[in-house]
Amino acid sequence: MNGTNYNLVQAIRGPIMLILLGTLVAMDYFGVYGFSRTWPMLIIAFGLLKLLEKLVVRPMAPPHDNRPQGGNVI
Amino acid sequence: MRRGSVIGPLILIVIGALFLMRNLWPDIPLADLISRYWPFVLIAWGGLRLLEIFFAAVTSRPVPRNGISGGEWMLVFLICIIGGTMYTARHYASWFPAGRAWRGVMVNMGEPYDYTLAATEKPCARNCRVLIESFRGNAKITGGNEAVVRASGRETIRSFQQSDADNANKETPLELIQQGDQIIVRTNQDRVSDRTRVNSDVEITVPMGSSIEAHGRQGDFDIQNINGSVDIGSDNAGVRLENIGGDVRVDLRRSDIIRAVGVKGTVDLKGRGQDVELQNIDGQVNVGGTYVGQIQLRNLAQPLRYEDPLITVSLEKLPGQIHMGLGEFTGNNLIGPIRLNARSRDVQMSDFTQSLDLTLDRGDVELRPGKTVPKIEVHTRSGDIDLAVPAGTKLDLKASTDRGEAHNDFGAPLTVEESHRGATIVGNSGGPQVRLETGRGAVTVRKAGTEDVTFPNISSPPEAPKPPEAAKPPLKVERQ
Repeated sequence: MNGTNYNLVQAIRGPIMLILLGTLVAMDYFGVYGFSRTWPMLIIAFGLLKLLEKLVVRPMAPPHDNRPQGGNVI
Repeated sequence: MRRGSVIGPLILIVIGALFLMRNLWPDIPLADLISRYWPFVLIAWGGLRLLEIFFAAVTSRPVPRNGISGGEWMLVFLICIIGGTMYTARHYASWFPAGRAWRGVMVNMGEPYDYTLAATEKPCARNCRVLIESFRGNAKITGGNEAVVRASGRETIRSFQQSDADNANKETPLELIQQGDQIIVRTNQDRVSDRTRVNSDVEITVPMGSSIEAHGRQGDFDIQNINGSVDIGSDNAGVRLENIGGDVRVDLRRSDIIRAVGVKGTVDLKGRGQDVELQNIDGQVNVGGTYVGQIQLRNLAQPLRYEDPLITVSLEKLPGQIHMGLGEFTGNNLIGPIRLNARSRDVQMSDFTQSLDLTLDRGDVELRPGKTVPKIEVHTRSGDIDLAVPAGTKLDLKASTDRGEAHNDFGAPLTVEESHRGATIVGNSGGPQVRLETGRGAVTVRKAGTEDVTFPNISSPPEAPKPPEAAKPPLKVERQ
């Protein structure tokens, strides 16, 4: 299930960025906020989506962890 | 394997539909719509793709690895570039280099379309105030007997498409707006975009007692038979005033002609321009500005103050006339005290009284005072001075040149005293004091002959004011 979620989050990143880009430009054209002021939202959204990806994946993050476990040594 | 998205086919359908629309309904301003609404294509694209992905997730089909592939991002980038360029071109025409000049080129490239402006009228007090708002075009304003303001006219719209011109025509009705005791004449030309240019020729009838305030950007004002005051400001205008009862104020940044005939009040001119003609003015005349054409002043009943960077003239009354052109000043029948100060000017003056104070940097001076010679003081650094007075006139005269000859054709009691390089004519038989001085040039004092009464080269009285030039009949284009 988590693998599917990971794929899903990765897949929706593109469309969401596209929708956001369209919205910002439309807002510029209709005089709400200028694109020159709102463009950082694109970076923020991209960062958030990346973060979401990580959050979704983290629970099953170390599927093949080969590092020695400290407890076992002692 | 990834199932093909619906977006690709949809884009094809949309593009096909747009071309079809253009062919079926050419009136729809497709380019305008696209330039404004293209971002929604991105939103719709993203939204549809999102739906596809969720649908795939719900039905447990494989979700694409990338919602939008690299190639699709390239397409998005292309759409952004094209859409952004179209929007900028449509909505910020004034961004183009050289602003107004470019706009002028754009505008003059379009076709002129001609429209009639619906006539309109508003009642108004007999002494109401009529304000003509900033507009481009010619205005003819006439005083009438009725207590009503009437406006009618036609407008020419230059545009690339007739639909644009039709829209511009709808947006620019000729309106009369009552505001307190004033009527505002509005042509609404500001409502149209920069890509079309509206030029209105308006004919306005106002109550005879009203006063007029008019602002224009380009075009002529032709005002007649108004008893109130007239106040005109414009970037570029020709102004013709006839029979005005009140004060006249004209402030123009550029003008080809300012003509005022028959003004009861004062006349104030400011700004820059070419020709000025003032005739039969009962009030004081103040001219302050730069007028480089022909200046004609006739029959001014009150003092004249003329101040130009090149010449300053003041006198008390002008029953006769003054003509000024490039480098010359001719005056006939002037009542002083007269003061004239100029850099480089040839001065001819006949039949003047009271006193004359004339200072030039350079220029020849010819003086023909009338029967009674007034007090005269003339200084020029370089130029000839010629004074003709009636025989037998009593004078206290001293006419000198630092470098040049002195001719005494008047005879006794005047005598010539030669000095190092110059000469002086002196003589005192009582009478008014006459002092003539030139740094370099000849000095002549002689008896006035019959041909010296006035200067013949003053042109005849001006013809009646011409109405503003009618616009050329614009091309009519029938829609297919």
